Amino acid sequence: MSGKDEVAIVGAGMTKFMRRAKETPKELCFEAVRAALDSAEMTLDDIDCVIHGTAPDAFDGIHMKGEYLSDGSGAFKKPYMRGYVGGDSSK
Amino acid sequence: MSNSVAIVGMGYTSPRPLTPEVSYKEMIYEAAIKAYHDANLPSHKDIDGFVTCAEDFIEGTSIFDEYTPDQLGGVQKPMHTITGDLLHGIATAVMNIQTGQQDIVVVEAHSKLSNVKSLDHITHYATDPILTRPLNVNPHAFAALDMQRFLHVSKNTLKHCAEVVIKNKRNAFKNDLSCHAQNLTVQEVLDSEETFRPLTHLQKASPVDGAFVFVLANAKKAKKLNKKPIWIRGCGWISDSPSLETRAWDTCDYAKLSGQMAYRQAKIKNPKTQIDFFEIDDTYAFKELQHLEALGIYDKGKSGNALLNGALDPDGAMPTNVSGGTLGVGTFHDASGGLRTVEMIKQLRGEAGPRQLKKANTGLAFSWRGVPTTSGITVIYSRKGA
Repeated sequence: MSGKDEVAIVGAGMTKFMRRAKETPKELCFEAVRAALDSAEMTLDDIDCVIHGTAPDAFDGIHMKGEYLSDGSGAFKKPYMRGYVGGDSSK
Repeated sequence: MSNSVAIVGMGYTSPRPLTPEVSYKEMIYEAAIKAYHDANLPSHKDIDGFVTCAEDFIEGTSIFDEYTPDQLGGVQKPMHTITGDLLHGIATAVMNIQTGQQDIVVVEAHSKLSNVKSLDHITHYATDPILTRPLNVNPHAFAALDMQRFLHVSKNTLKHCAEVVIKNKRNAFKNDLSCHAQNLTVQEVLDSEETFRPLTHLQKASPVDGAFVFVLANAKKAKKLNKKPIWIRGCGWISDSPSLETRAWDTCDYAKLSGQMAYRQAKIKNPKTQIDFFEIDDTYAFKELQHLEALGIYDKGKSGNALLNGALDPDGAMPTNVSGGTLGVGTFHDASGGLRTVEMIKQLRGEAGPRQLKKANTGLAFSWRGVPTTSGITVIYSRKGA
């Protein structure tokens, strides 16, 4: 990949890693997204599309977990896709 | 849409309410063989990538994406699963091809809903586990709330909703895939068992089993493989809010915004005149009218009377769900986009038999992911490329 096809990561964020977090899954997503946007000095208005990766549904006991996490991930009224290969988000 | 992508092959199994004699893998294998043959592929080894659409809880298998390569010929190939409707899979495959990294991509989705013994219970597990699930409300009640609000705001009526059921189940008589064709009256629809007021049993699509496989290719490969490639002119998809408290109850934004995104890509300024026919989500009868209005095909509150005037009939101005839709054929849940895409391809190829439309140059397929979601996707198909 080169020239106009080049893609770069311009921001990143993550929550603390912890046991028994009191935050809801949506709130954890929000914290990570907030941190990523802040690090890139961007707001949600700058985002065209959200791609989401999360562990398999059975791990959280939530069916259609991608849908549940979509607004916490900033995908409110945006194109949103959850891809998974065993939960990996790299796809 | 630059970097044109076309569907060059389709394969599917015959939908049926019960399929105890075959596994989901055997169903997918049958659909895949038919699709590869339809695409004139010399070998499955010519395929560069695979996209499948599934949800773990519906399949009854965690990390279900690991169970998808064998029956498609996708072993040791780039492959991943998305949690979306088959139309989301089409959009994903289009993007894969437009990267230039893959020339031919296969999309698969299936329904083995006859294996699911507690579908409503599973759907209940899709509601917010902290705020909504403890209320222990059946998720179909959310659809009834949505319907109440839609009828109140739009001034469409219960009779209009019943007429959607009558039209789609009547259209299904001309579709050999149909499992739920029926001649009904308005009174029979409205007097069927009440589920959640104002919804009645006949206003909800019934589940069926079936598998769909499509072969997509870039322009160069498409023209070489198939004499009748069906071009994908636009894909738009949007998620509104999954929370009941914050979603747009009055405006159905997931349909409205996804349509606008697809129209932009397809350079469609007036969908009322530039699109010839529609295959629209009708999981619940009122949804067909709600989605048509949100997509800009009719102004708010105008779809019901258009239906009564015959505009949505096969010989009307806006033929809608000529296939019979999911009310007439049956719902495949996230594979329902497959039913819509099959109808698009048959009509655009001129192979729809007794229900072939006189004018079928450009068609619009729209899927919604069902309760409790607000995710929808529009795909515009055409017999001509950009």
